[in-house]
Amino acid sequence: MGESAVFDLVSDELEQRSSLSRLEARGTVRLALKEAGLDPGTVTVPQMTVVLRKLLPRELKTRGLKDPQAFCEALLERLSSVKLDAGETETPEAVFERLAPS
Amino acid sequence: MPAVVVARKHRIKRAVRQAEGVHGGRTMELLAQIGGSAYCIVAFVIGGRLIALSLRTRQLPELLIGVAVLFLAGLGYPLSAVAREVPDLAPWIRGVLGASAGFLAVVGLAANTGFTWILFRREEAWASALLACVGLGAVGLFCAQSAAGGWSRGTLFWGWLPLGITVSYAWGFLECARYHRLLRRRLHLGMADPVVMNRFALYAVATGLAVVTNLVGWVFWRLDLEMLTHPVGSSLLFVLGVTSSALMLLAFLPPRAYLAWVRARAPEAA
Repeated sequence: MGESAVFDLVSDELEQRSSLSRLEARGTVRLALKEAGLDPGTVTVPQMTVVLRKLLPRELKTRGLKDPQAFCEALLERLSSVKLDAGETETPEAVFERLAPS
Repeated sequence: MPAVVVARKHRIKRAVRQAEGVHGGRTMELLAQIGGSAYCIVAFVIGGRLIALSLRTRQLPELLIGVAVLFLAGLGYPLSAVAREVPDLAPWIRGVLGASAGFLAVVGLAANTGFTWILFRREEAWASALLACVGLGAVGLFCAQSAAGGWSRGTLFWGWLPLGITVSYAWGFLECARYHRLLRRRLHLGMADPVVMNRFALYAVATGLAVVTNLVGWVFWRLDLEMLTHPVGSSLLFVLGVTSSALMLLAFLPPRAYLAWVRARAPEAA
């Protein structure tokens, strides 16, 4: 399965705005997503927003980036300014939510 | 003591032991029937409910899981049990019941595998190949049994279909367990619903138990032992049947108190 447009966007922005190589940037975002229990192929904008707020700053700090919080804020702004395809695939939790009263 | 009296005492003791054995055997058989029947009734209700849901939502996943639960356990197992275990029925009726059970099992198995495929791996070639293998294998077994005849016992069909069912349920178990682990991580970040996460866990354990039940049943079948009357088999049937029924009810027809309990136990988001 390929990566989602959200993953590509955040990884590309991270690569352009930092000294990280393409491989390092994508790997860093992958690690943050893994910690959140998310898949690069299916991550959505709201999910990536949480990752940028709560997990990526810590990952960037360990890679020596100065002021990772501000860095992630800039990425958040970029993420909110673009319109991405929501994707047609229904997530497993959306299906399981329907199967019984919650 | 005269030999006649001793022999008489031995005869009485033997008769008492035999009577106790028969009584114990009947009790075990009854327990096994309770376990098996409970699961079939729960599967009938939940399967029917899920199919009704699919008619409202017009979505394929709920139709697939509804058909799987209803056809395999809610209708298929009881029909095949009647075909095998009720010798008073006319042979042709037993044959029709057995073939109907086989047909329902083939459709149910394909639907169960299709549910896992569509939910988790619809874009992956290996998963599509596995779905095709399970479906075609089940159809092949059905055709082979029909050609051989003897659907009242369906020795060939029921002798090998449990392996397909085991593969299908094992795949569902692994995917649901993996997804439950992912949702646990998301829950800590406020990105998952504890009730839905718990539903994945309940369904994973229920499918895991189905794997165990099928494998045990298959071993008994290969050893030509009757599970219902065997002490180990009947105990297992009771425990597995009752536990699976409870898990399916909590997953698909949960009482409000249970949902409130699950929410109350969920950790706060970071």
